[in-house]
Amino acid sequence: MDRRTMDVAAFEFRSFFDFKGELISLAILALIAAIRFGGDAIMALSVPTNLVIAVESTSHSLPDQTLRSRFSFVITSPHERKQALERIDNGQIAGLLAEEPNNTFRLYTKSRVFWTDALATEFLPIHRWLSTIKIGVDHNDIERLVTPPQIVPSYPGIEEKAGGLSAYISTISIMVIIIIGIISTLPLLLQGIAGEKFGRISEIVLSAISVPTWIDGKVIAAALHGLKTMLSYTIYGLTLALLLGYFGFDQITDPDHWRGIAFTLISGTLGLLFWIVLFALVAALLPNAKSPIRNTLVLAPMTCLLLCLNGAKEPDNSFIVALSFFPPTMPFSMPLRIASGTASTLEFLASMAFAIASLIALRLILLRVFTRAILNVGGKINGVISYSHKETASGL
Amino acid sequence: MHEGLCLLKLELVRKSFRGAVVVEDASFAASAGGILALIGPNGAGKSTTFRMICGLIHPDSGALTWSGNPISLLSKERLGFLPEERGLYQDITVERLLIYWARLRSMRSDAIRHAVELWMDRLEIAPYRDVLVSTLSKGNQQKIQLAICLLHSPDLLVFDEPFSGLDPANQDLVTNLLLEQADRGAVVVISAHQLALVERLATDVVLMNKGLTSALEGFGRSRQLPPTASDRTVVVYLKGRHTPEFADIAKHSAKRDHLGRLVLTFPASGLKELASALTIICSCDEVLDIELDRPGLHQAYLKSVSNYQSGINHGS
Repeated sequence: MDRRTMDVAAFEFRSFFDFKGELISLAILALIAAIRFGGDAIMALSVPTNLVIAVESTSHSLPDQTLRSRFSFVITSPHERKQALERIDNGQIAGLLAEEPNNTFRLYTKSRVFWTDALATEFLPIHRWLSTIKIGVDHNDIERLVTPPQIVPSYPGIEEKAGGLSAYISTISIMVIIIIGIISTLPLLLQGIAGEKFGRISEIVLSAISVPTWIDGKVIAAALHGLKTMLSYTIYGLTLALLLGYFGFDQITDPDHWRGIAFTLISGTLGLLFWIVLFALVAALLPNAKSPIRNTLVLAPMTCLLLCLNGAKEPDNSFIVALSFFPPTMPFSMPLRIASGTASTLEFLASMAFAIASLIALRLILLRVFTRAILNVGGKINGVISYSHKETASGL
Repeated sequence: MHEGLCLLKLELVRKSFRGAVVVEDASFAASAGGILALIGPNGAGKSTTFRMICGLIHPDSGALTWSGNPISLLSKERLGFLPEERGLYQDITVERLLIYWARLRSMRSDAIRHAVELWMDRLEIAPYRDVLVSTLSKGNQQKIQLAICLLHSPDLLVFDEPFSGLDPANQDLVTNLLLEQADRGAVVVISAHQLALVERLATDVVLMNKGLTSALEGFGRSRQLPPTASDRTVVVYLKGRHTPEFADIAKHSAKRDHLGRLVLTFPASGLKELASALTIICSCDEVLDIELDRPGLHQAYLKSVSNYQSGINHGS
């Protein structure tokens, strides 16, 4: 590769490299973290703890209560309500829960309180425990009845395993991150190719370096920019997911996921490159600087994403399988199939081969029309294409 | 033509766009150490010719050679091209832009620093080294563009309208730079509408009109023979009136200028005839001023263009 290709790439990448977006995202992330942890911590410090709540019951036992609970429950007989109310007045206990009809409990306190919701949450297991004793059934049987059944899929002899809800969420996140990466390259390519064409910079640049050197440099810069965007959003996404408790560190560092991550990275990067070259081709062919095509370009990858999103819940759908071999939709549908475990290694390799072949063909078309396109200001696109055929045919 | 080694040669070069012929059988040659000026009206095909020389577009037919080989074999590092419509990266400092361009010209790292400093000094843009290009005046941006073309000491300089947007002092600066480049052996090809500057600068002048080229012999620095005596015209400014004695002066014409002076014009064909005419004039009136006028590039240009136009009008 010509050293100057990397010079062009470095120049273009630096020209569009901007920390502002990252800093703003980081600030938002810090805010969320502050709310999530700082807010909780402040609340935890300021709210009353170790509140003793008496519960009227004929039972004499309670389940084990966790040490970190805000409330601790004690049993009191329904006949001793007066004494219990006196203990509230004396500050010995924070409140008394007395059962009423229709699954309602009345809370007696010394003054107005704002922790009834928290109390309801912590009281639920106590309530279930006392209810099972009251109706004379085993507590564990009741738990089994009220918990929704869990389905754990198993595919004997097949290496890939479906990842359930977290895999679905991860896949959607990956698709969104890839589309963000693809769309983020559009301004760079429109400015770097169409902008420089109409600003007459291309003319002087191409008197110094060849078209492939220049175009390849632009494509590499755009790819780096897209990857940087994708990496940034991946970091933010993972951090957020960790902060909000969607994932654990153990899931991220699980080696079983590495193959899927590697395949997703490869397909994402190839898909990104495909879209970059496609955008570059359109940017080169724009007939004027204010062409409305500029604003509608973003719809093309968005449409491909939406097509693939439909298949997110059924990744083995034959339509989604077909889309995973079609280069424009491959970066969205293939990660989906990888995450769901419906893509074999052979299918993945075939899809990548298609993508690479399309990329090479598209690049050749781009280079072929580019020399003509840079001087075509205001001309029709088909004129550029027919001219490029003529130039190639004459061997010039 | 300049007597240096002929390097750049165009023979019957033709280019058309969508059926419209822009350059038609253009032929000229430029030599090392010479400055060839391509002059002509707007839309004559000069910029297209320059783009073909620089390999940005290819001719439909004809030969474009450098040192006898197709010009496509000329390495781009040996070329410095200043297009007519200027284009510069704007959101970058002057120094960084020049370094980037030096790298694109395949210069070595140690040579880059030296060349950047040299050309910033020569073009008087060193004070703006850390300034964004977008904040500079049009003239200074023009100088940056010139520096970009000269950084790598190219063998072939193709400058389309290098004086455009420059004040007289900077026009002189660029003139001297181009002369220096020619003196070091480069082939310099320019186009310009400032014909007085072209006359001072160019060793060869080629007129281009409607895609056709023709050499304007006898103009430019390298002209060795003065115009013939019949080409000269004597202009005498007199205080008084036209007198009958002036009839003895062959081919004379007389008119009054805006200052009320009588302006007598006649060809200076031979010193004897000139002395005789002046004797007659001095005996009749008080002479205020005498000028010796010879046809310049400006007149030749206008004459050629109007001849071409009348040729078209008459269908020839």
